[in-house]
Amino acid sequence: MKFSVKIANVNIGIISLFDEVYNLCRDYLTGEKPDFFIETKAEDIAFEREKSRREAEYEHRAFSDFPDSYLETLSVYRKIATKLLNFDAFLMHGAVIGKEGFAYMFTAPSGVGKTTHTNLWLKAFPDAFMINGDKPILRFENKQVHAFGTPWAGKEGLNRNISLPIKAICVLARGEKNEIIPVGFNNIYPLLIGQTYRPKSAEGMVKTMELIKKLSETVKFYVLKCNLDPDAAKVAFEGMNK
Amino acid sequence: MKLRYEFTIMDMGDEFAAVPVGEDAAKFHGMLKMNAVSADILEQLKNDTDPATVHKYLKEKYPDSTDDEIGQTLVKFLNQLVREGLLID
Repeated sequence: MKFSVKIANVNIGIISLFDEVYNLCRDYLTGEKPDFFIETKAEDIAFEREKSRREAEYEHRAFSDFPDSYLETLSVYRKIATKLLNFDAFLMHGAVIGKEGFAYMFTAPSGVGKTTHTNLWLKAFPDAFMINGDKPILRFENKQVHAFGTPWAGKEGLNRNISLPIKAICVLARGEKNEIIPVGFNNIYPLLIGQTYRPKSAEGMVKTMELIKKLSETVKFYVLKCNLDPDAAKVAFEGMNK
Repeated sequence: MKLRYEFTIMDMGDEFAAVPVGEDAAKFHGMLKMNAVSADILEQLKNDTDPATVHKYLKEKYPDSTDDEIGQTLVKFLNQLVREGLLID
């Protein structure tokens, strides 16, 4: 299939082997002229399968052999994320909530509870909505970093084709009581690098690290220790708006 | 001796960060944080070298430091790299 999508204000032509990529990207289709094309081939799918196998081995869990059509969606996003670096944009693993004209990003290693916490926001604040639940694109535009919705949004698939300037990035940690603490960039950047898509090339990695470093110019950083109490969302929101 | 993987080294403000790149990057899970001197050492280890050559390089770059100070810093960092399996002969 051949079609175009607009992600992070960049028009991307996609030539795919299966329909699954097209179906995933339905909300992001565009008729505008692509800024670049990507194309997947059988070897890209084989690469994703091998990567998936190696990750399962490293994490000591059973290997799930996903269908080629699903693996192609991973390959497409990998190629897009690599190319988007040329547009001052990068992929950071995390959940992004929109509220009152700003984006609030929550990141943490898998299993800490990003989905649980962001669900508390959606329940606590009727005007809050999910921009992307798992793999948003962050892009610098006019000296401000914006979070963009993308079709790649984790198991729940929560995403909206919208962007908002990021007010804060918050690292989640489990805690007995709800507490939010401002942190400096130097204390948080290793985790941010760990949660960011890492391109294979040295040139791409330099660009990625430059963009992460640039975050410190416009974004505030916090650590939120939280439990499952609905109050956690209010503590987080108020803490990031002091 | 040289680094097992290719690293990208970046000045992050108060310290330096090194992240592996290339085909084998996924085999090293993580990144290294270090000071400017260690970043210099890591840079030298991108190509095949030996401790004496790196020591000489550091002595020229940091002329106010004594041989012993440079030697201790070098040995400490090389040992860290060995422990993490990041150096090859």
